[in-house]
Amino acid sequence: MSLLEIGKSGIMASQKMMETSAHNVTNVNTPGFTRQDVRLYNAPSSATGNGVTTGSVRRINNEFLTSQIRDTFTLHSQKATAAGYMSSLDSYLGNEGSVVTEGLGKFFSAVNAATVDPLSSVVRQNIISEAGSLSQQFHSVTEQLEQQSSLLKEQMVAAIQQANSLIAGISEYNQSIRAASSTSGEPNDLLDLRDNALQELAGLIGITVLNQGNGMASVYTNLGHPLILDTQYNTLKAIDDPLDPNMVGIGLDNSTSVVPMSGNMGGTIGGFQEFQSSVLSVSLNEIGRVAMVFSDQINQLLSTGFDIGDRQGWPSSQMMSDVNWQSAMDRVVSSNVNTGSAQFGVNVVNQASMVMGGEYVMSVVGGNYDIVRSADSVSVASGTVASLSSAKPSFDGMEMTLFTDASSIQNGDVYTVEFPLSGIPASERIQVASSVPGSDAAMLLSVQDSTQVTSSDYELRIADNGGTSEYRITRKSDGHEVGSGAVPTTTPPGAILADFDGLQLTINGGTLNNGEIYLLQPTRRAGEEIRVVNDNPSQLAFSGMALAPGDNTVAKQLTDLQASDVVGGEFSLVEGYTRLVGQVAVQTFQTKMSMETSHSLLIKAQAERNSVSGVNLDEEAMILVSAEQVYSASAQVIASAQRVFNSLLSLL
Amino acid sequence: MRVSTAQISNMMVSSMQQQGGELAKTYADITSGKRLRQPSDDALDTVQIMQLNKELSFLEQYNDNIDALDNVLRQEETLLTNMVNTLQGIRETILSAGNVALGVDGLKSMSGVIEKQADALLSLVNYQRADGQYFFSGLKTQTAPVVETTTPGVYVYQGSEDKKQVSVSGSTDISANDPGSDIFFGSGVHAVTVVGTATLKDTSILDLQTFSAYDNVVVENVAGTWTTTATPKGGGPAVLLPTVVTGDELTIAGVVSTTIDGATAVGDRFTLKSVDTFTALANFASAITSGGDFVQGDVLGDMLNTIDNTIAKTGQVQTRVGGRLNTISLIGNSHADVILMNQTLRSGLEDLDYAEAISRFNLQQTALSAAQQTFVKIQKMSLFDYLR
Repeated sequence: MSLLEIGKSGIMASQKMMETSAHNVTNVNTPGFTRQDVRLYNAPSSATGNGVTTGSVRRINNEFLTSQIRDTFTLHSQKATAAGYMSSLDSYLGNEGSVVTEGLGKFFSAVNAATVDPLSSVVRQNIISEAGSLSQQFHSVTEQLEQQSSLLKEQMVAAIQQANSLIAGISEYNQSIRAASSTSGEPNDLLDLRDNALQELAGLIGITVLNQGNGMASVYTNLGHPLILDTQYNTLKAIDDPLDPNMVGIGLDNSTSVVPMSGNMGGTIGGFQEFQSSVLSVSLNEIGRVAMVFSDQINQLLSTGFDIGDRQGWPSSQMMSDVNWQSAMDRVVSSNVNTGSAQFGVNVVNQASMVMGGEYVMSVVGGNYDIVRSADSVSVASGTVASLSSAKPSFDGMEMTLFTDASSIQNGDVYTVEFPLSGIPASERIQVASSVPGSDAAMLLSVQDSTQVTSSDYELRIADNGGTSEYRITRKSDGHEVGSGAVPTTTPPGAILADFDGLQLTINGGTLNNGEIYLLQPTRRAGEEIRVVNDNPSQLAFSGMALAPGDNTVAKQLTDLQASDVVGGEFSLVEGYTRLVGQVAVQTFQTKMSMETSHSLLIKAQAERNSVSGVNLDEEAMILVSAEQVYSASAQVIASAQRVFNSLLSLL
Repeated sequence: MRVSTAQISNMMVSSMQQQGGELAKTYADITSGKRLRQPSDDALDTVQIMQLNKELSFLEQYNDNIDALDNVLRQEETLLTNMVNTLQGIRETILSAGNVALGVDGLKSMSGVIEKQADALLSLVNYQRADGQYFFSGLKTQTAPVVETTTPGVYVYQGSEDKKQVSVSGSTDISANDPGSDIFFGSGVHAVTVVGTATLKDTSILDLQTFSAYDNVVVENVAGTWTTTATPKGGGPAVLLPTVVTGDELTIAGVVSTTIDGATAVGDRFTLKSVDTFTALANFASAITSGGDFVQGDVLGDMLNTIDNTIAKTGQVQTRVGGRLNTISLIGNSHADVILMNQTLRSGLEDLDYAEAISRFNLQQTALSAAQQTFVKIQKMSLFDYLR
């Protein structure tokens, strides 16, 4: 081969080197850029050799290091997302203005003032106001949690959309890479772009990447669901969690059906899931439990006392909304054409016999009353008006009490008794998680002993066992079975399904079918439902005995409540809240720690990858200098070839 | 190890960010003066602080109670002192009514004086607070404790016998009031012959407190033995009281002593009824105007006895009130100590150690500026600068 050709090969090689180096230098700050170099071979010939052969441009990367970055990035994103949410909840719960302990303290101080001066209307009014602002504090803590929950749902949907567009993008890269590799060798920069997209996807959900021989990458979630196979792909979809309708779950959409995926997805989406399941639900339940125990205990104590008018058990002596039913008097609505001025109250005496969804109309004709169930027009109770002052009509598990004189009832008066479900609705504590066609069961979950109530959710499953329908109730916090047995065959109402943890579950209508799953949440909504229903200070029943309005026995029992272990029989009200703050704080601290650990792991993984694939300007300068040298040397070779040729010519 | 250019700046930037973050945290510590700004900064300490706050709120409630009790009891003390003064005045009037030289007109005017003084006493026991609640009517604070019945000159107690208990510490309850019946009722005794011809004279109460606990006491000659039964106030089965006979004198369980005047037979029965100060005074006032031109010795003696008993009973209540004031002041002092201790503990948990924080701040500042200078120096170094 000629000297000229050899020189040319050197010039071509050094030009390629300089081009590659220039590409590297200009991309020194491009994220995810993998440095490239030129493969050079010495061109063989018989004895002296043929100069240099310029090979392909190589992408200097290490697939292990790239996947290490993806994995640590997944972990870090999950922890950082969870830590962000937790930290904001943590500082909110610890914030002095929102701390429920503050409100509890003020309420009990107000009650304490009543132990010294139980008759003072100022003191009594203050108790009602403090109870009101305490309820407000419960509401705002619950609201804050609900806001976090709805923000989380929005963010989760956005993250899923982002993941979907990345999944689509990656499958497109797969296509272009396959096309490019068949025509013009390794498409280095496309591979970089795909790695970038993969890393971004790994930040959202945990993924496993398998590189196919043809340059394509298959992607699976860490839980094993296929996301991308060659150029085919499935998308993610936000769905209701199959076991907890309050939570956002994730389904795999293969364009024909949506398959729910259980377990933590990892990444940012996994972070949302972590916060949602381990902190948000627990906090809402715990706050609700404290609110519920507070309302129930206050009402129970007040119902034993005598108010200033010397009335005991007067329905409005219930200061807080009833934890099971709305207050007795609110249930009876008198028609606006009534000429009488009677006041009635309705109390629930037997929850199991209540008939779901009905209302009752009481009409007075000719000195007699008649109470008719509207649903089926059946008369459930009747008698003379005069008998109302001594005998309470009872029907369908309820008992109607006349609070005024019987003479205040006039012929032609009409009173409507509403089905007593509001306050903290017992029916709304039950959510259908998974129904089967024909599901129509109406159930009530009521609180029997608030001190025994836990902050856990429960799961009710109906399943077939050798021909009989059996139910199983599981406490979700520890997986314990708290009740099981055959589904009662008696026609509701009148069927108690189970008593557990201070709660009673009854079937009041319809039937339970095999395959149904219900989620029972006794305390979830109590934090938003707590409210003061009595605004008449003189009706606070602080006296423990009749005809002694100056007595403070009940007021003293109320102040004793703040130190007694009424929350789960283990903690006082304040401790119930403090414990939640402590739990959230510990979890936040742990999550922050794992966030920091995963951050340093990520930094380390990036450093390792960069030490292999990152651009070093000094190195590139050296390559440029040496390429330049080769270039000038090769040019000299050509020059010498020319000179040799010239000297040969001059000899002629 | 091969280091890429981007890596160098990444490393330096992230280390500067971290140092900047720490500096900002220390700065926030210093400006807020608090060591803990959110519970997760130190979960254990936060929970402990909340516990201390709970205890502090308990103690503050107890202190509120102590302040309120102190006011109420001091007011009661003043009223009791006034009662004693009025009673002393009445005693002097009664003594001067014993002056035989007074005559009918003198006794009439004396009777008027006694009626006025009794009214003053009545207004003291029926004292109402600004909000209309009565001081001495037990728990029926909306009912006047002592009123004259439809029969003129006969007074009754309408209040309740109960006392309101107020907590001043976890284990101590203090009574916030004393029923008026403790002071003015059961202060005198009036013997009535139910069966027989003999009468009882020189009847006097030996133990005021025990006597007040009985509704009536019946002394009966059962088969030659004097037997005494007493019905407790507020119901309950009658109790048998041991009776010691010395000649004509009967001493009943150390509570009442009396002397039999006249011949007795088996089956004779006397009732010892308790008399209240107001009825006794009204009776005395009418007795001295209708009894002639001088006051009978035993009438005068009984009245004086009753007044002396009333003064003694008032004194007992005063002592009780004084004792309570003493107790609450002691408990209040101990609360103050515990509050101070808890506040010190809490401050130790949540407050910032300034010396430590400021030296930490200086150190972090030095580290940050060192990192910045290093960054500038390293950034300057590039082989490209030498390619000329």
